[in-house]
Amino acid sequence: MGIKDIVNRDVVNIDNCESEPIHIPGSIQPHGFLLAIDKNTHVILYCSANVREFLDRELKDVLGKRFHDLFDCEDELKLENYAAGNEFNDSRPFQCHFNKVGYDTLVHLSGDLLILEFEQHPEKMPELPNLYIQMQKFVNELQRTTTLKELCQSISEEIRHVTGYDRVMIYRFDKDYNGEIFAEAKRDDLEGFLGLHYPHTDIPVQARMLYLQNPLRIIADVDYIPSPIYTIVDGADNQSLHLGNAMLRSVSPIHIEYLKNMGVGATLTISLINDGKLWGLVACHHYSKKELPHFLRHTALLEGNFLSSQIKVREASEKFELSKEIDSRLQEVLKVFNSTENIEEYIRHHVLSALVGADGFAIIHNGRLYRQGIVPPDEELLKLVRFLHSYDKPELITDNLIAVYPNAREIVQYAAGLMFFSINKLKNDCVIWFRTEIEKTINWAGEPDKAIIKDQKGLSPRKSFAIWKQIVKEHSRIWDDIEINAAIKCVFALQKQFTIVDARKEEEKQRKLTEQLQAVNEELSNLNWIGSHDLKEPLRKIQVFASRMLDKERYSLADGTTDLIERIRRSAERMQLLIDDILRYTRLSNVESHFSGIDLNRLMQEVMSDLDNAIEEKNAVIEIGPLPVIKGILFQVRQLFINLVGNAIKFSRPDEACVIKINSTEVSINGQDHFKITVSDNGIGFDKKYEDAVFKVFQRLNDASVYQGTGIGLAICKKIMEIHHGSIEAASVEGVGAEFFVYFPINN
Amino acid sequence: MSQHFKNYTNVKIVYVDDDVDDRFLFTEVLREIDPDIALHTLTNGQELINELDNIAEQPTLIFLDVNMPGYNGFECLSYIRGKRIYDDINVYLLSTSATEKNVETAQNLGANGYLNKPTSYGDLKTLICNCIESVLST
Repeated sequence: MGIKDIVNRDVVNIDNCESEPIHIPGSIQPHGFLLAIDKNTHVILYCSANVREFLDRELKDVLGKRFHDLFDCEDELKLENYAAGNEFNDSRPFQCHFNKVGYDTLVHLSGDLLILEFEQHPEKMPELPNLYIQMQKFVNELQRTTTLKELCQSISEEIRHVTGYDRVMIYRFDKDYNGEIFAEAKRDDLEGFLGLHYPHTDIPVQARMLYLQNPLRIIADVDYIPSPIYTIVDGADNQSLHLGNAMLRSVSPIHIEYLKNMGVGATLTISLINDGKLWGLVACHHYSKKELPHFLRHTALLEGNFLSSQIKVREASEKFELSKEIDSRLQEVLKVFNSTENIEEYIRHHVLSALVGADGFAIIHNGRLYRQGIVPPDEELLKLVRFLHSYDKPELITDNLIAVYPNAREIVQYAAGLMFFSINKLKNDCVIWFRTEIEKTINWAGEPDKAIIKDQKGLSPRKSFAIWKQIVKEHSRIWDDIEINAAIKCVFALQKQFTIVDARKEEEKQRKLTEQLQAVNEELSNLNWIGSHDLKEPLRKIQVFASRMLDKERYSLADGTTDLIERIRRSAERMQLLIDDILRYTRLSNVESHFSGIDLNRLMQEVMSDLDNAIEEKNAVIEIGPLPVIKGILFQVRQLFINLVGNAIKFSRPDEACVIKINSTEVSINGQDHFKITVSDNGIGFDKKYEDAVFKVFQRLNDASVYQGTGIGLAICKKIMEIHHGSIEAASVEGVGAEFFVYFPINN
Repeated sequence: MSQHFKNYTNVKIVYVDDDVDDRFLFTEVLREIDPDIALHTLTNGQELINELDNIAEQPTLIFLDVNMPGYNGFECLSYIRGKRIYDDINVYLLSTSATEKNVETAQNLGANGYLNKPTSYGDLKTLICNCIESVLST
């Protein structure tokens, strides 16, 4: 029968560090010994080499033997009972004796094998803490401590008190398994590690898996020489033994070196598990070798389990406390919003950045930038805002701006992370909270050297903690959900505030405009008055006196003088017409007139008689088709047609008999039915390009000395049509004639 | 110009206007129509009221300028129409601009007419003539 060891000799190097097979080392720590027996036959198939020391037997006298060959039959019976009862219970180890030495033996199944790990029962039983007392102490702590941190602190102290390790630390992991020393109890002479951070690479993923599987792990002496496990060479493929659940399992050489680098001699590690995830670890360090009897280990484990059970409750209650705190800050913010509309005031109160624990805060409103605290320089900030506004979403919440915005490297000292909310994309309006880099705000340990040093021996664990710093570089603290919610509420309130402010400003603007308009209107009616009296009086006098001279003194005046006086009279007369027309124009919309039915056939007869002299003078022929009854203001509609027909007569061609046609049709404009009245003539017409211009005040296309008029007539027509909710258009061919179309809405 | 040959001897006219030019023109026009017509020109409403209450013989016609300081034309008209003893007096209002509203007010207050001050001497003469004619024919 041959015997061989199953030590795993794969070289660990930097590339397989993450995949180091730490569950099948093929060796154990030598402070106990290991047997693996067939669960049915109890034949010993594996044993650790140190059975020589513990049992004083050679390997060949152990391997291949049955359990009862070594131990009492009584013990074997006990083992069978233990195994059959499935009492593989860490808290109640199987106890047996060999050569009058008592052993606490951990038993677990690994495939068809029962793995037995023997550790000597301490000669002097330590004073075991009474479970009842321990529980009561713990409940007291629960009540005394308010925060999770306080609870962790008190538990670390209790564990140190019970176990006597030099240093007991509680690690807490972040979402990426970067660690932070959250609580610490230590010998007074040791340097404190509290608050230090470690990168997730310290505890690789497979180690985390094992921590989930085995909540307790002990290394009694980092300087131990592993005891190899031997098996019988019998052709069977029993080459490796899965020791994932074994307490004595030999430790990864990388981990050992890591501990050695820190000067640690022995450790105890307890997993803290929350929601099936590794929340943290209780890491007990001793600076010399230290074995811990089974019962004390389990006392410590119990503390760890207590703590695990409290994590969720405490975290929830701390979240609740935080949300209460933030809520009260939010109330304060809203109070400030209510007290003033001045954004400068918001900035001055500092409540806005305090609200979400930001280092800086900026608002852009109506193109103005308001800033507070640590905020990138204006130019960089505006660049950033433009980028954020061009981003897909109206908000961006990140603890790593560089990942989104490449230019962030230049402003990382101001804005490693941010919460951005767009308020008005077009105006660039937005709200931003900034956070600086996390390494600026948190302690970190060690020198920023290379963490993993590759030397001739292969892989050596890092000697500094700087990796953590590299990992969190350019990151800010993460924005908590509660903080994000508060920010959203705040932005919402701010948005409402801005809307109110804008509406009020708009209102104020409207009010001022209205005032101005009223003033202008008053001015205008003054103008009416001036026009109607003060201006007209002297004009009338000029005309009357001129006509008196022409009437009475005609024969006593020199010929030239008569002509000059006639010119004076004509100019005054023209001025008079202008004033009358301007007044008519400005008065149109001031007049409160009622719409009534107007029979255009009848109205046109009146217009004809008004224009009687002109028609006669030009020998004009006016053909009037059947016209409708429209709704309108009588004197205005009358004025309208007097102007239109008057123009048609006025601008007739001297070489052509003046023919004017007036017709009506019905048309639809934008779904509204209209009467379209056309006044067309065969006069001089005008260039097509003036079709719009003719409706402007004082727009004259012709020589005033030939065609008298003020240039206001068509402007008046246009205004009249506006008042009638209709419109007017012109079309003309120069030298052929002109057409004017007026549209009166039907049923209006 | 047939007016010359008519008998206007018994016509007494009062013309009230604060404007010196208009008083001048009116006086001249009336003289041309008939120098025998008795004309009394006054410069404001207060004078008219004083005059009316103090003179023994009532005027046939009163021409009132609308826009005058103190009592304006409408107020004078109201005063006159408020006293039954003046019922026989014909009152015409004169103004530079005849807005519809003014014409209506004048009518409501009992004016015999509302006249636009003409812009030519000849028109003025015709206007005054017509007024006198229409008074005499009633």
